[in-house]
Amino acid sequence: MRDDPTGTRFMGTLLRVLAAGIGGGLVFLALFGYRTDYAGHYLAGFGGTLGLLVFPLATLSLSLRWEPFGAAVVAILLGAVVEATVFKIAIFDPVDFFNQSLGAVLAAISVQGRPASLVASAGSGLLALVFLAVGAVLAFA
Amino acid sequence: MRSPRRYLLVVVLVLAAGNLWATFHRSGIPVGLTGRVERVEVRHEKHPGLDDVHLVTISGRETHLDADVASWVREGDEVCKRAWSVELTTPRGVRRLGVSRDFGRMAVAMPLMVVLALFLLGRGRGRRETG
Repeated sequence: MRDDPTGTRFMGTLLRVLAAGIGGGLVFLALFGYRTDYAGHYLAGFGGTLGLLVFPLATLSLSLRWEPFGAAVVAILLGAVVEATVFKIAIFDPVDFFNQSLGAVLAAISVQGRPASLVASAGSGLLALVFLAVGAVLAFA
Repeated sequence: MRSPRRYLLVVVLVLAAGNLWATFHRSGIPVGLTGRVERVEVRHEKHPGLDDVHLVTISGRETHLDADVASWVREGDEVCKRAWSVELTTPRGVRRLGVSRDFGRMAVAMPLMVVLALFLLGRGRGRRETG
């Protein structure tokens, strides 16, 4: 773990996370304003995967390399199980699954190659909670 | 070993293509719809009236269709449509199939998501891979 004394690297990481989360969410909201659940699934997948990445961001001694890809795969598989069980209301909706999985991969991409840092980890954890909460509201509102 | 960036990009492309295929498939265009309509079912999702799921069973095969396509058939109808044809023959005439608003917007949204992924993957390269 690096303590990142200059503060520039963790800011870069958080800006990338914000760009991926808000940017992707806005694409869905702008084009599918009549179906906010699409944006909701994207943001929930994004927040959940970002939450998985908090630990490697805090504990690794170098930059993240395969951890984001691994977290995305785990999140996609978990999302498939949850979509097929807990959140299966009418059918297993492949569009919901693809949207939440896109959120998972974009979260992984946003921290791919970024240096591990306690501050980046804490900030990402906070943002993960925010994205999850907004995603849940949009999906069920 | 290859860079994880390539794998992440491949997954984005697969998911974007999956979204396009799923919304296009609901138009009914790529599937054959020939036989007797056994069941027309509407299942409500989180937002009844907005994201309802329309399932039509024809000769034992259940297909998830767009709402307007499902509304053109009734239980007991004999219908005919070859895969990739845009004409659905029903007892009340021939209906012309088209893609839904969801597919049209997905055709814009998915390329934008790929561009966002490429932008982030490109911006994040340099320093990490030289460091």
